[in-house]
Parts: sequence; structure tokens; C-alpha cells
Amino acid sequence: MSLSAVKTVLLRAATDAKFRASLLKNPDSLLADFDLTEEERQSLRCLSEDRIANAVNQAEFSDLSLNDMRI
Amino acid sequence: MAKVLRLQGLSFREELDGKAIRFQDSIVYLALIPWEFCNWECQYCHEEQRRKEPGELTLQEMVGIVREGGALGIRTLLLLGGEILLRNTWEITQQVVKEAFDQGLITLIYTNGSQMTEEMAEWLASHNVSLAFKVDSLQPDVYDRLSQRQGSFESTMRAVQIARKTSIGQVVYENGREKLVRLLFTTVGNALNVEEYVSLARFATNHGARWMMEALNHRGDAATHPGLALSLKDHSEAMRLAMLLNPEQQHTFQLPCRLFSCVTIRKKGAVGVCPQDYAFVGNIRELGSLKAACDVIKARVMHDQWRASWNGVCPIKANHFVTE
Repeated sequence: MSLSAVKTVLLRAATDAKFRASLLKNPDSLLADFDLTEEERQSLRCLSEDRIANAVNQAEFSDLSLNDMRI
Repeated sequence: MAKVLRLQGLSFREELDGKAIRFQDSIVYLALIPWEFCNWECQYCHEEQRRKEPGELTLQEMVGIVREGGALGIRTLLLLGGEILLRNTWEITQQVVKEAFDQGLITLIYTNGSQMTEEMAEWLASHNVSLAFKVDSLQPDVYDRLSQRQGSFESTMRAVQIARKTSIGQVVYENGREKLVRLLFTTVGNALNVEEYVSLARFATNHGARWMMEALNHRGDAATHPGLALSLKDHSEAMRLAMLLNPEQQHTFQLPCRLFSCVTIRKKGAVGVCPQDYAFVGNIRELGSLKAACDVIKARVMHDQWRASWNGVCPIKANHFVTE
């Protein structure tokens, strides 16, 4: 388990077109190189191109604060 | 497109049909904390509260409160402890839940699941109960360390499987965008599990459960366990990733929090807003009725300082966190 590995994947996907295409097309082989839990792999496998873009600007989460997660 | 999971009891079928519920001027939730003793000793919990004390609510009082809640139009009974699903308090729990069921309330029980049997789960399933299981880690050693109980991870996972075999594990209702479910996994975010947020959110989705992040409350024993302390920055970053990668667990963030539309009655009658509110506004035994308690809560929550000056920070939980 490594949150930093998740971040690494997201950052590379957002900035490296070849890596991004590989993640979207053949995630299993790509993610095998990273130290991830099975749940993290599943989560990353579900990424769409749009969500990768959001990972960069995270605009849709800009107002997310600790308090908002209660329900 | 992934459908967002919502929990029956905190959310409602009408909402999935596009009907608004008037959270802003009504009490929607009744939280009852009938006792605070527990068979675990979670590091972040309230050690000094985990025992039976003189003057706790009687069964008759609890049933009366729930009955009045039904008459007042409250929709959900939240049952929190301590541990609610213990073998030696099961008959009390049944009577309180049955009253809620008879009054048309949904019941949501927060539990560690360690003593839950198949018979209990079937009975709860048939009484419109949603279950909130504590899932603080997917690593057994971390889970057991947090609960300070060997084997606790396995016992909770066993209970989750038992619950999923009943109707509690089924989707109640769904539309094109959302699913209403009866399973909730709760995580108290802390330094020992912050790395797991993405995994925990996915684990909940895989089990058809809504995932909820609970506040680490430094009013409890977390204050004496500095190893649990977590910075807002680390927590927020991990949450952003968890939400980004788990669209099923996202929802529209509504401010103010829904649990401002809640009245909480603690084990000796103290009245607060949400279950994490310790700035009590009175005691139901002195106020005389649940209606009187609700009126006090409404007056407090509607106060200008809560509404007009709202800045997005929960006044109840604002002091629960360690910030950098």
C-alpha cells in the first residue's frame, strides 16, 4: 500500500500522454510495476480520461473540506 | 457511469426521486446513545465513558423517546454507543428498534459487529435497519491495534459477510445516477490509516456499502494517543484522491451538514445537536419531552451565528482536529 504510488500514477497519467494511453488501454500490465493494493489497482483501473484531467486541476474538489465528509 | 451509493437512513428514497427534504427547518434524525460501554477499547474512543453509570436512560424512557420521535415526524433513529449489538443488551436493542419500526422510522445502528449473529442480522433486516460497520483499516494488525482487541478485524469482516447475506446487503432503490443501500462502512481517519483511504473507499464500493469518513475527535482518548494525530493537509489530500478514484462514493456536498437537523439524546438524557456535539443544551428529563428538546435544538441551529456567518467549518467539530 502506498498513497505516494497512487499519486505517482496519477501525475504521470496527467502529464505523460503515452503513459496515460497505456493506463487507459492496458492498466493491469502498467500498474503491475507499482506498489499498490488490489483496491488501489481497481480504483485506478476505473479512471477515465476526464477524471485524469480532474486529477490535475482538481477543480471539482476545490471546496472539499474535512467537515463535508460527514454524510 | 458509476452510480453513487447513498445510505438509507441518512438519505431517503424520495431524494432519489428528486424530492427535497426540508432539512433546514425540521428535525429529521434522532440519535440515541443508550449506553457507552463497549467490548473494545478503540484508541480514539472515550475510555472514561465506556462503563455503565447510575442514572442512565431506562428502557421505558428510550422507547418513549422513540415513540415521540415518530409522532414528531422524525425519519431516522441513529443508535450509537458504546457497542449496540452486544449479546447481553440484545433484548433492549430489539425493543427500541421495534418501537422505531412500528413508528415508521428507519434505524441506523453503528456497530463493530463483533457479537452479531445470523439471527440478529435477520431480525434487524426485517425491521428496516441499516448497519454501519466500523472499518478503520484493511490491515488486520492495524485494525486490531486501533481497537486494542486481538482478532477484531476478523470479527468485523465476519459480521459484514453475515449482514450481506440478508436484505441489508441489497440495493433498496436506484435511479439512473444513484443507489440507495443499507450498508455503511465508517472510518475514523487518523495517522495509522490515512494511507488507506483510497483502498477503504474501494473496499466499501466492492461490498455495496456507502463509505463515510468520521472525524478524529480529540475530546476522546485520541488526545492521549498522539500517534493518531493527523494534519488537515494529509487528511485532505488523501480524501481528494479517495474521492477522485471512487466516484461511487461521491455525493453533492451540502452545507450546512445534515446532522444539524438532528437531536441527540445521550445515555443520561443530555441533549445535543449531532452525536459529536458535547455542548449540551439541556437534559431531556428536565426539558420534559423530545419536542421540547427539538425546539431548543432548532433555536440553536437556526441562530444567526450558524447560518448567516457560515464559513464552511463545523462549529461542533472545529476543535476535533490537529492542524499544522
